[in-house]
Amino acid sequence: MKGYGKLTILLLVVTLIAFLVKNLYYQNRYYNTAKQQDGIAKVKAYEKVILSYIPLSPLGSKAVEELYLYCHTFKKDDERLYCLETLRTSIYQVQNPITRPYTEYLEKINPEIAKLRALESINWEYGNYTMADYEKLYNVQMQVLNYDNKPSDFWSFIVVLSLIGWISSVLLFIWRANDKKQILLYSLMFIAFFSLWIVSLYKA
Amino acid sequence: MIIKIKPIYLVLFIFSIIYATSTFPVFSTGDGGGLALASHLLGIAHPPGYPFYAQINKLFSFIPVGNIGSRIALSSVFFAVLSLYLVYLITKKIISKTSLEIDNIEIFSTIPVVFLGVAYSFYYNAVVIKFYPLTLFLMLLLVLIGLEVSFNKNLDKRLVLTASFLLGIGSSIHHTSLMMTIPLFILGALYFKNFIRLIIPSAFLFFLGFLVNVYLYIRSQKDCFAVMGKAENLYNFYFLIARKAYGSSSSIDLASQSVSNLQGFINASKNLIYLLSINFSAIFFLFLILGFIYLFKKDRQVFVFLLITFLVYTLLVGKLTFTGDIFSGNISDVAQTLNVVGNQYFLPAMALFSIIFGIGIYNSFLFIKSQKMEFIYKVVPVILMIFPFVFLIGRFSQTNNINNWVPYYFGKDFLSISPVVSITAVRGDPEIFGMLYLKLLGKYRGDVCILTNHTSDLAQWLNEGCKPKQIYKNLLPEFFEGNLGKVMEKKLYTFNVIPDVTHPLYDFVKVKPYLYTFFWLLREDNAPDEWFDKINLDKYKFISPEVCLFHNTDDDYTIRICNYIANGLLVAASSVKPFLLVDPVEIKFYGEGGGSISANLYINEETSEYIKVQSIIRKINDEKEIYLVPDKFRNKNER
Repeated sequence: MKGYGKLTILLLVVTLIAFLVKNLYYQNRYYNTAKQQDGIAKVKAYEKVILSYIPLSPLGSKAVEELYLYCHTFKKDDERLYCLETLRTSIYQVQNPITRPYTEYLEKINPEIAKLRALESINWEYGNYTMADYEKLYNVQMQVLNYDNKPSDFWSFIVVLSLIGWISSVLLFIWRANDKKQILLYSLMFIAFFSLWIVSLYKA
Repeated sequence: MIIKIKPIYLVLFIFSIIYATSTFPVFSTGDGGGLALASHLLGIAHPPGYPFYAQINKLFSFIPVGNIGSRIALSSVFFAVLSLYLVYLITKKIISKTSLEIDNIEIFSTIPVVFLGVAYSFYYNAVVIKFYPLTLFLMLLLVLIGLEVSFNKNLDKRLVLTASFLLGIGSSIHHTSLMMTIPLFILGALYFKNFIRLIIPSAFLFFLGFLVNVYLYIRSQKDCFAVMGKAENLYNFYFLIARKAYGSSSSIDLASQSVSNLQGFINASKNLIYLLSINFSAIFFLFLILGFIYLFKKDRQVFVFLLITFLVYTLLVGKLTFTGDIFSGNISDVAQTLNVVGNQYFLPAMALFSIIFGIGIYNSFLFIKSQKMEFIYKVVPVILMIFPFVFLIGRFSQTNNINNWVPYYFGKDFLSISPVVSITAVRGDPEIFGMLYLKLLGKYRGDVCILTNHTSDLAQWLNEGCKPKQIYKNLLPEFFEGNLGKVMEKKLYTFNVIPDVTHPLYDFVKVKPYLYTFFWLLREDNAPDEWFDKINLDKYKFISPEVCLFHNTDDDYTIRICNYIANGLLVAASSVKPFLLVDPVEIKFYGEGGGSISANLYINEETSEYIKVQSIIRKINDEKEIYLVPDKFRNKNER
């Protein structure tokens, strides 16, 4: 059993290294592409750099910073909005509870996006909003931008951990519970992990 | 000093690297976006909800490299490679328990692993966000347990309880894993006395495994994200678990049709022979027979167990899902059947096929050895183990999705062109899953309210892309007051469906093409055509047809999306009105699920670029080029 465990971990490590190298290669490739592009194509190339996120990689941070600055060079509102929305979604898509990358940019981007969306609504030819509605539209957009639908990272982690815990305790009960002490131990383990699993599913 | 490493380890490392670098850049086509989203939000995927899969994926989503979709895809890679390892263990167990000639056992046990690893369907499933590799892993664990019982000629209580528990967990993945109940039940019945004694504890352990599904009920109470339906009460829980939303394709209804007519078995057999031949080679059927003959001679119980398992996962699953004629008819239907059904449901059949033909190959080499051809016995198996890697050259332009941005940009572009604070109604999996992934996970275009519909019943709308109501009712007050007409009047309602005469709104609305979708307008709307032409050309910059030129795969879903994208280019072209009017060509645009409208296309210098790109996209994305499509379709010129 020990050998299988080692092999499983080794396979996981090899998979992760391959995944890391893949992201490293593509981050570099798309960053070079971004440097040679203009307009929306440049935005998309930077987006791909950010999506190929690697912790501590200078290219990722540079891409975020350069894209943020580049967004402000667009003259048309819809293009600037597209650029900022792209930056925002790229940052959200690479979030993880360990490194939480580039979150400081979200605070800067959100008000800009809310402003542009409010202006777009007002400028929509068939809409009936005027500049008098700007404040209201801006506030609703900020509400949308600040809404978080994601389950809690902590409780989500507990969900997975306790699931593995109670499944393992059942298997241990089947294979290792040879005397009363072990029966009690694995039964308690099951009850504890299962209860934790139920609670975390509610809490997450 | 030479470090001795077992060939299987090298093979597994190679496949881990190949698969991990072949996943989609973000999420895969098909259900990929929906499954990734449900996993990330600890939500409920399409029926039966896949709670075990979602929770395992959630763990992968914590990896601090890449983006969330691509991390979740690693679970497929991981379980695909572990399944390959189980194929090796099973083959090795059979050889070691039935033969004294075990000097080349490592090589012979690795041969089926390599052939399976490079097979089109296996590679395909190893790199997409789907639960089939996990289901296969579980199913192979159950086969291993069955073999342990068969070889030991002892119905070990611990093995029976473990199998029951795993079957219970299997109810929370794809239901094909539950079909292992049949061979295991028959095997158990051979040890009747013990078996009867263990029925109640087994049922209890099955129930414990089934408890994974409690997730569906609890998460429904939290009003989590759900692709098609929630399980807030017992009836809905049953409705979801039994996949009742799929009507006659639900798990219960399918099971009742399992042995109903002979023609179904004949069609399924024909299709399966084709599927296995194209994934491996017809020659392997010979080795399959040799494998079964070997098992029959060596151990009848193992033979019966593996034969029943093989028949269950070939003929029975085939009868339930794969009876359509794949050698005639419409190429689109054939490609879809082969892609969705053939490619995915038969992974267990392919794994069993490779195990048994692996035994057959071993049997043949025993004969060669008995003829004193020692050199061939030593060298050819090594060649056989290395040779299949040659097929990877082909796979790199079929199932390697490293540059396949199509599903991602299709979903993103759809949202990018949506007017600010609008309602975007969608039908069709690629649109729905792509857009929901971008909006709910990527938080892209939160101002757009997405309404989705997975069935042809247009009254069944889901509003997962427009929650929470307390925020969106401030954004789109008319819609939440039930005044959809007002939203249409403001040109803020798009839908990728064209209403036909059966549609309840047919007499009240008209549509105008808008790149990938259509503006739904009130019948009396008198906005000038120029306004629609202008918005089509203005927003064209936000769509990404270029992704269809470089994806370099033969994935049927990708090809379908690209043909849809090509339509968007024609919409843009038809919006260009030349200064000097020439005779137009009439073209038709089709929405999801039928219905069409005509438009005029002026072919001139201004439109030629759009037309050229769309024709290149169509040429590159031709279903005839899909590896699984039978050859006879390649010569037809029907498109």
